[in-house]
Amino acid sequence: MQDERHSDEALVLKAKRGDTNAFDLLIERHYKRIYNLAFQLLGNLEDAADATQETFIKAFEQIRRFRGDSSFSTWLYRIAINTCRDMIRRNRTIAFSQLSPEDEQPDFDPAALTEPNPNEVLMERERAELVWLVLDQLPKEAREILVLCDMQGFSYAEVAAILNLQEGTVKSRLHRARNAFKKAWEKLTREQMMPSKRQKGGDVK
Amino acid sequence: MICKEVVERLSEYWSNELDEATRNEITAHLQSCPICRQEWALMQSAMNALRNAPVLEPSPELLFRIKSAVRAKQMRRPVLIWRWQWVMAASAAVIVLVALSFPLLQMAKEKARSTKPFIAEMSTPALPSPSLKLSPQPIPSEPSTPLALSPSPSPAERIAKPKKATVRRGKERQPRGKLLEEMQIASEREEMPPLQIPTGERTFEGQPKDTPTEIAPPIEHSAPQIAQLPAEPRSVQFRAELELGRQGRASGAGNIEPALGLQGPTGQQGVTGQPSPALSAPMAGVRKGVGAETKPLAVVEEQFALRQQFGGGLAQAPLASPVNLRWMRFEPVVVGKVKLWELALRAETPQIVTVSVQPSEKVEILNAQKPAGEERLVVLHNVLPAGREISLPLLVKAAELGARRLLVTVETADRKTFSWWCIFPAMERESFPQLRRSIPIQVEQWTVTDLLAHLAWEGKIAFLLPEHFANRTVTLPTGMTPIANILASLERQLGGRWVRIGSTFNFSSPSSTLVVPMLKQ
Repeated sequence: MQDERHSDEALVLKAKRGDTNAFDLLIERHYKRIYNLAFQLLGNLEDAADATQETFIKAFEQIRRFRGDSSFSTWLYRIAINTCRDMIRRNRTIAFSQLSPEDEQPDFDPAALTEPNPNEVLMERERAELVWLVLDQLPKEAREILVLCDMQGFSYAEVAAILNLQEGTVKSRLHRARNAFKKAWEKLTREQMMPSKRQKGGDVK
Repeated sequence: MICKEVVERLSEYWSNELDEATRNEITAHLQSCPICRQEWALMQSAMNALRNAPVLEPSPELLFRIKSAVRAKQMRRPVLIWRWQWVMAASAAVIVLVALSFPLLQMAKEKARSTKPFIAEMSTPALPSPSLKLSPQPIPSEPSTPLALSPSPSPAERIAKPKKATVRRGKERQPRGKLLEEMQIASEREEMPPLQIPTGERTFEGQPKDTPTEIAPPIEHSAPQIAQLPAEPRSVQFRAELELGRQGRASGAGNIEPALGLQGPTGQQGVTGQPSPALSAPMAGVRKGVGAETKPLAVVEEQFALRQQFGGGLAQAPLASPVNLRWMRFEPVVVGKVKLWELALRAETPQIVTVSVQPSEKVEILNAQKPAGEERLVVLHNVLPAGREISLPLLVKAAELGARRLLVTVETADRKTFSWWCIFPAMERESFPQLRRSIPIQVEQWTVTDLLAHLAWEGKIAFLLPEHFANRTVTLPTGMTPIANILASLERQLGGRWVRIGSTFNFSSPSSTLVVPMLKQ
């Protein structure tokens, strides 16, 4: 790729001067990873796309204030995480308002199509979906740290810079988060393995 | 080491962060303790699942969406900066007067020196409001003050510096520079031959689905060129009608014999070919729902497809240059969120078109730009090659729930205008069309736009309607009526067809003409 020659820093300098093409290159370089990060934090494709877009808009607006204390990607990730946090907060309020009674069942529900047919589900895919389910059950902090360390593969130092924490704090939080993840994982995999039992339990209740 | 400790440290053990002694201890423990071994297996499977979670590939539109959103942001800046300079110039002028009437030059100089670095930064504000508060400060940005009053060169030089910077910036961004005007004229000359196609143009040859490389935002192209267009009132109103889309539904207008020879040779196969399966499925549904009640159609789809691309316009081609508009991409509008729409624009003869929008209240088009001295909001100014579609992206944001409107006007170089109404619901969250739903009709007489606004909201669908139908009146029986039936009734009363693409409906009137509205009526 032609743009390989330019480092993020060089592009940031150009972007600061108002070069949109440089900023475009930065978008191209980072949007997939930001999108994945957003999805891992939000668990929803549409929100992830929105968050990605918002992240870059914010970055564009604030790029003049980016002083280069950290790397551009760290800075970008910080924006992305804050955007996702905002979104989670917003979504929570939406989730309540969605319970309003005037809601009507739509004629066509796309969720019905994406719902996997139990006979066709592959083990691999099931496991991947389970990851999202488990992550959903974790507290926000734990989820962030797992996503950054274990899914995105950042080093402790990088995560510390992104989350504005001490490295030691990152480590201890990560180990706590992993244990929490393991616990939730155990519970869910057990439920998945014995679906019949789960149904019975539901009947009794 | 006891089991609890071991289990707690498994995370570090897993990522190999323990010192060797502890590690060996845990290994030894695991070998002897089946319960901890089980925990270890669990940790491994959990962490592997986490690490191997699939990496998602975002849809190709996302990149385009982000870039256009960023560009939309950027486009708003020049306006602000322009205003800034205005405020600066105005306040500087005031200062000239003040300075002329009071011999307080030394003090002014002092002030200028102290504020200079601040000013240099101030030329890039994000918001216009602070500019008003700061207006007394740009003393140094006006060179005439010190130059006229102080012969000493050194402060004048110093003071002139920030001003220079501002001017350059202004020139870069200022939408109506003579330079740009010339550039634009030059580029028009260059781009007039239909073979040279600028970015933003999109064809459907072979591949109806866009590849990411094809998506190049035309906004970039259009940004600086807009302001050059004249803002005089238009003398002649022309009417265009919609392209009938890919569906190729035949209609009573088949008897207008379009001269096939007139059609441009390029780009048609792709558009008129088989609709993609994704599109044909919902259309089939509509045909069942709507078509059943409409008057019998001569369904010779392939044959009519070409003809309908051009509506009745082709027969009139020598009289007017028809421009067609249809939905290409639609995202349901959710209140407060920015959604990307794309309309496809197409002309039979090469055109230079300016597309402007006129959103209703509570609707914002983020990529629209307001050329100085004009009322309209321009979204695109580009060359439209003959017979090929170019994409017209619109970043739509609605502020409140309800049915919303947007007038899209295409003006050709010879000042003919063609307008369409986009009527769509701004929803709380994304929803899918509900055509089977029955809705109450309490009044008999409706103007078409009011009726469509009602349907858009109730049925969660978006309409594209040629403007000359907007104020027509239609009559409906009162009572609960399925949306599909109302649409069919509209077809009969207006003499056209609805062409559905996803959640959107294009109204197409093959019988109307471009020059004389409603020939058939």
